[in-house]
Amino acid sequence: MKTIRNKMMMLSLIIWIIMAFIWISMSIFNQRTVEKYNGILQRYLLMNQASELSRQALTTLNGYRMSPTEENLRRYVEDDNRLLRTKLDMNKLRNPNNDMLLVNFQHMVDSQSEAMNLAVRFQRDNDDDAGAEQFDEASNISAYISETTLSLIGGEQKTYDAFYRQIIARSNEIKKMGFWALAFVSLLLLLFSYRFVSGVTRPILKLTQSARELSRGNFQNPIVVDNNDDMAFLAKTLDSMRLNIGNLFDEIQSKAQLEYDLHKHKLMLKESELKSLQSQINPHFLFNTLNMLSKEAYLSGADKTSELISSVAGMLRYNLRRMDSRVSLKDEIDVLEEYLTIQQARFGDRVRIVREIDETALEIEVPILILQPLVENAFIYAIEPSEDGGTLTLRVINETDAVVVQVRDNGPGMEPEKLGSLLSDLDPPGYKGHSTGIGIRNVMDRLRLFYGTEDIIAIDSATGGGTCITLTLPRRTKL
Amino acid sequence: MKKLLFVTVFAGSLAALAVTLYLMLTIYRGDMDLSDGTGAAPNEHSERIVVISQEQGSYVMNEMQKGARDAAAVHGMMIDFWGVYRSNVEELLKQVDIAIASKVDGIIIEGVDRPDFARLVNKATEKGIPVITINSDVPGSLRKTYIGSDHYREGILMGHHLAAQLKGEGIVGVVMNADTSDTDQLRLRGLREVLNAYAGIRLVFASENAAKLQAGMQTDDILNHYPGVKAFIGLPADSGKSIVEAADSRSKRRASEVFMFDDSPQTESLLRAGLVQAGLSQHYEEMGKMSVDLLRRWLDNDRLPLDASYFTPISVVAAPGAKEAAP
Repeated sequence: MKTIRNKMMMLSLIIWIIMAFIWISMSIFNQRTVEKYNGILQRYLLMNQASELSRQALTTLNGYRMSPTEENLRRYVEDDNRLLRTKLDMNKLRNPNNDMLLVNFQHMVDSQSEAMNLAVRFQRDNDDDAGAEQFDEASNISAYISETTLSLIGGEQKTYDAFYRQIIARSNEIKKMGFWALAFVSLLLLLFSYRFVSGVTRPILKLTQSARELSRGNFQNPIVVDNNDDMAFLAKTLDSMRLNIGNLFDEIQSKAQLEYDLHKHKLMLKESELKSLQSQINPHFLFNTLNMLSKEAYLSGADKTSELISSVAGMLRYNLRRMDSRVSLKDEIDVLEEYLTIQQARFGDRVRIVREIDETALEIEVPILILQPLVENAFIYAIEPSEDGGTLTLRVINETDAVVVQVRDNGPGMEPEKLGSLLSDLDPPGYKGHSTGIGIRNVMDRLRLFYGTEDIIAIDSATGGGTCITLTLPRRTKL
Repeated sequence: MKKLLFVTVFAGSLAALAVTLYLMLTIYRGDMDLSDGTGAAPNEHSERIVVISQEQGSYVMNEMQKGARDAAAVHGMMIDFWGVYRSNVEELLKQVDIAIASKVDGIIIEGVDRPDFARLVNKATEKGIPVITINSDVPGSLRKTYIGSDHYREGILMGHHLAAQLKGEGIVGVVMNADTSDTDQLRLRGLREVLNAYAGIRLVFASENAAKLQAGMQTDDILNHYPGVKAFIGLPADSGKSIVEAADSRSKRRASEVFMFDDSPQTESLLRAGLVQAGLSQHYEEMGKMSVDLLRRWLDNDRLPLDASYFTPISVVAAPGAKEAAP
């Protein structure tokens, strides 16, 4: 991944390289020009030096002629040697344009040197006339050398005329190149910085917008920055943060909902507990009151009333027992008798009750309150609606591995849909005649739970033929 | 809009890059070119010869230089052309002295018949430098040989032609070189020798003062003193036009007859126009070539000694119209 720092470094490096390249190439060009100039200047200087030395040698020779001492001679010889050395140095100045003139020049130097040496020799031989003649000759030649130097330099200027023009043209071109290079680098820099700045600012703008949305609580829009630098990393991090926060938020919300529900349920539970307490208190009070009323009725000689109240109280006490407790079939039958007593008092002659009870089967254990709802059902559907009343047959048959309990009425019977609604525990609305509020459905469920089998209860009902509910209670092996 | 700007900047930077690279390439190539100037020096041991002329830039000299240069190129010699203007003898002598000091291998020079010239030629010979005279001779010096026209014969040739043209009658004005040269003297001697036989022909000259002047002025002077001049003889090369103009301005009635001693392009055009009646065909280029060839022979010690002089052929060139009138 390219970081912003790397990008900046790269940009600086590229610009630096370009500038360095241009600077170096311009320097090299200039350096070469200067070297060339120096070379030409050296030529001029060398030519001038030769001419200068020629005159100087003549001067020292003159000095020797005026006062012929060894010192002056030595000085002259030195100058002469320097002149000849310079003459040799001039070999490297040769080019096609000045070839002949240069060779002439060198030979002139030789001629001067020869004439001067001759002059010295004549001086030593004390031949003054010949010496003077040679000296004049040397002096003439020295004058020629000066002239030739001028024409040599003139020739140089002609030779290098084209070169000077080229140099001027080139310096102009170098100047132009500098300007163009400057323009190029400026534009390149503009381009790069534009790209660079927009590459940095655009993601920042995007991040800012995203952050604003996040702060408003909008976690839906994904944050995408398609750079390949620090910004993309930042955006990716922010995006994952957005996702995490969103998830956390959802989680917290669902938890809060859950807690709210829980709280509500707790409240409802409390309420129901309170209600059940209420409903427990009242029956006990009622039960005691009923017992007291029964005693009071007995004492005041109303035996019938006392018996009825006592039956109601007994039923009430039985009903108040825990629903999951077990009782013997005899207890069930006893409570049923109490109920029948009450119903007998209510319906009078309209109801006939036939009991066919095998006393030997009454020891069997059964769930509490299974017979009374069945009988109550028969009263509600068969006896109560009929003006003539009806016959209720209660039968307990002791079989080898089961006890069969049958509740039969001779009412109008039940239609299948009515039977279905009965079994589905949906009481017909508006009817409040139940004593316990326990329906047939409840009885069936408890029996199934108690015995662990399905086929305990069987209902035979034919329209006009009455209804017969048969319970087949299996004998449970005593453990 | 932004994109357009971006593209513009991008294109601009590309263009600037291209121009920069182009200029850089140009400069680099220019740098390669700079390395001329100091080429390899030619053969160091080739002989150097110097041609010294009295009238630099004149037609005669140019022709001789052309021949000499070609010959030098053939022999692989280095040749240089020195010279003075208006026959400045002092300067000429100095140049000879320079040539001697430069230890050249040979000197080709238009001779000046003066003792100090001869002395310098002798000095050169002492130093072992051969001197060849060209076009005008210095017979009294130690020059190796002379190459050029025989001026005395030129005079005789022209004299005969003139006499024939003038039919032995009339005054003839002679226009001389500004500095009386040996060449002029030789030509005049030839002329005189021929014309002495014709009593009717008289040679006249410009007065002493005017003799130093240009050809046109000399013509005027002669016309002033001798209004009956019938013909002019021009000794200096390239003076035909001045003479013709000066003569025509004076007398419109009839053109004077003009005779020249050369066949330069100017003279030739005047000949064709009928303004000049005759010229002499010279072979200056041949002279230049021959002088270099002979110097070569001398340096190579080939077929020595050289003859005392090598004359180039001469002949009279008459105008087409004049020829018909000749008989």
